[in-house]
Amino acid sequence: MELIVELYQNTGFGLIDWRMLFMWFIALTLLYLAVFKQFEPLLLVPIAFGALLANLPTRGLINKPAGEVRSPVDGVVIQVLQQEGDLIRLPAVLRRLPQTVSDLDAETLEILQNTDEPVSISGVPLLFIVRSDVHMDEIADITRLHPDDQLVFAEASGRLVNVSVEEGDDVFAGQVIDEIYSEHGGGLFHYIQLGVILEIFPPLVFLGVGALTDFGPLIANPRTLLLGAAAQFGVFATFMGAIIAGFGKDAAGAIGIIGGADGPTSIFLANALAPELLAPIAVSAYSYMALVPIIQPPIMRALTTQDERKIKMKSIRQVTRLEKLVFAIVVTVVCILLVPAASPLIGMLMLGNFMRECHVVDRLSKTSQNEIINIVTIFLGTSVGITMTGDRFLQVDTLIILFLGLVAFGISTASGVIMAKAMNLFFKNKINPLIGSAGVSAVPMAARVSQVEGQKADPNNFLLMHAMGPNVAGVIGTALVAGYFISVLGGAH
Amino acid sequence: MTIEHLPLTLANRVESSELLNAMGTLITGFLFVIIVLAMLSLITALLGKVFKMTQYKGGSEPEGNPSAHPAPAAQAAPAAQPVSATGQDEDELAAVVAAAIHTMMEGKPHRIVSIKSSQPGWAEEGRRQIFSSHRVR
Repeated sequence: MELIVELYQNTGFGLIDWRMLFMWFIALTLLYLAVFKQFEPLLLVPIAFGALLANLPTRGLINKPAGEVRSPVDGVVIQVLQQEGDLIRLPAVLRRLPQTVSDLDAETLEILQNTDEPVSISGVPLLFIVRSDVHMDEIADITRLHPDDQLVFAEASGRLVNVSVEEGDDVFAGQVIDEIYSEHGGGLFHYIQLGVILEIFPPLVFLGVGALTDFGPLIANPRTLLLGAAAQFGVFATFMGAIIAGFGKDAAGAIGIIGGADGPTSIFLANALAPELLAPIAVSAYSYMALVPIIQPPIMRALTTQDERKIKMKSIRQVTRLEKLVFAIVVTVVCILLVPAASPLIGMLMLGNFMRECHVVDRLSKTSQNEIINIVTIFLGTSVGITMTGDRFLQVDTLIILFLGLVAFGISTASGVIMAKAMNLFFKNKINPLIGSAGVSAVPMAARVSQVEGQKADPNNFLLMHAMGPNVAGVIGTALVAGYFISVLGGAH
Repeated sequence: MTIEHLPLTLANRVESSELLNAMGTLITGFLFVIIVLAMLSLITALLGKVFKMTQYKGGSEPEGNPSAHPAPAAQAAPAAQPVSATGQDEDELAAVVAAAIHTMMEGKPHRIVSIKSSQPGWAEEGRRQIFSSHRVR
């Protein structure tokens, strides 16, 4: 009987909770949409599968490797709860942990205040309590806890070695306060996720996007760059909306970028400004990109008249190879000089495009278009999915972000259309306002929507190539906005 | 932000100075993006003009510029009228031939004077493939 109980305890059944079950449902819904409805399947399949893995009691998949434990803030060590040599063992399923003393329940607080017993929350041992922004000589009674005191938990299993601080020691943010030693490394996705955390994957995806993108329609009709710029208004309007909803500036910037309809840029910015919101932002961005054919048309039709939708645009000229090469160099130099923080995205985008257009490195161009972007997409998607743990994802914040993302998308679409109408007041060669909506990136889906809507108004109207101009301008625009937010809001490293 | 904080946040926590600050970020950011992309648009338009001019002068650019030579395509169709083909849809055939020639000529000015059908070249093509499959030493 004991053996059976032990066997059961070694399985993962006992660790399942309602959040996990709910996340299975979400993951399965996303998989259904991807597989049977073909909504952005290339991204939704890895994201949804990652989400499923994240909500199973896995071992050796997402755990962090043992290593140094650092102080999260400048301040004073108030309590040391584990001793050198103690064995730390983390549970298979890690829950969201409290960050400050005010987040603790009364019972735990009682133990912390009145006993020397070690404390664990959801099976994770508490290592230290640190009070921020004070010096030891400013503290009257170190035994009294303050609601803002920061909790430092163990992040890996192993043996506690090199405890280098005592109660009452001053520490600074990033200072090593002890070390957990183990012979085992981290889980598979700990290492794969580094591609997101170190901001490697999004620029690599941009390399592939650059190699896949023909900037010809944009070069032939440079006015469409303005449409790509106008569509960024949705990003800024949603930034404002998120501030009003109570998010901090960093988080608001990361949420606003959903309106740019550019997955890699959203992930890039979310990781730089608000890593804790990465999962809902990425899911929101990719979901709405998949829903472009449903979200955009009503807005486009509401803002245009039948006559405007029938406008036939002059056929665009063919662009020479040299012109495309010069364009790639000019965009790289101008954008990086103006927004250095956008360098990883713009630099890789234009490198990919230069390789495509120079026609002398076909092997490199093809590798960027296929192997690199495919491999990175698998890792990027699953890395995003693996952050979708139930206790992190099932928050009111997620719902607000999904709503704000939708608003961002709508405003971006509308801004592009309105800009096209405004430009028609000044230019002799009229622009069909339907291509304005393609200023949100979502390449090439948004351009395809312009084409479909144009053909509904006039079956002989072919807007696809015209819409590719604002579409690729949107990619550059969104990357610039990301760079702007990083520069202004301080996410730069 | 947690569930408990939400009503408080929405109602009270957003101070007007914070909103003004965010508004500043919004306006500056949007204007900045518009100006940068307008600059790029201007530079691209200027470059396009320069390239067009050099093409008119040189006319030897590898990837031709049809809009710089709008005449050829227009001229091709009427010139193809006297086509004496095999009784199929002559207009369509003329358009296809004109498009093919336009691509081959890479946008250089040209005029199609006549279109004649050649002899069926299957035997010749077969012979060419056999010969080209051997390396000549």
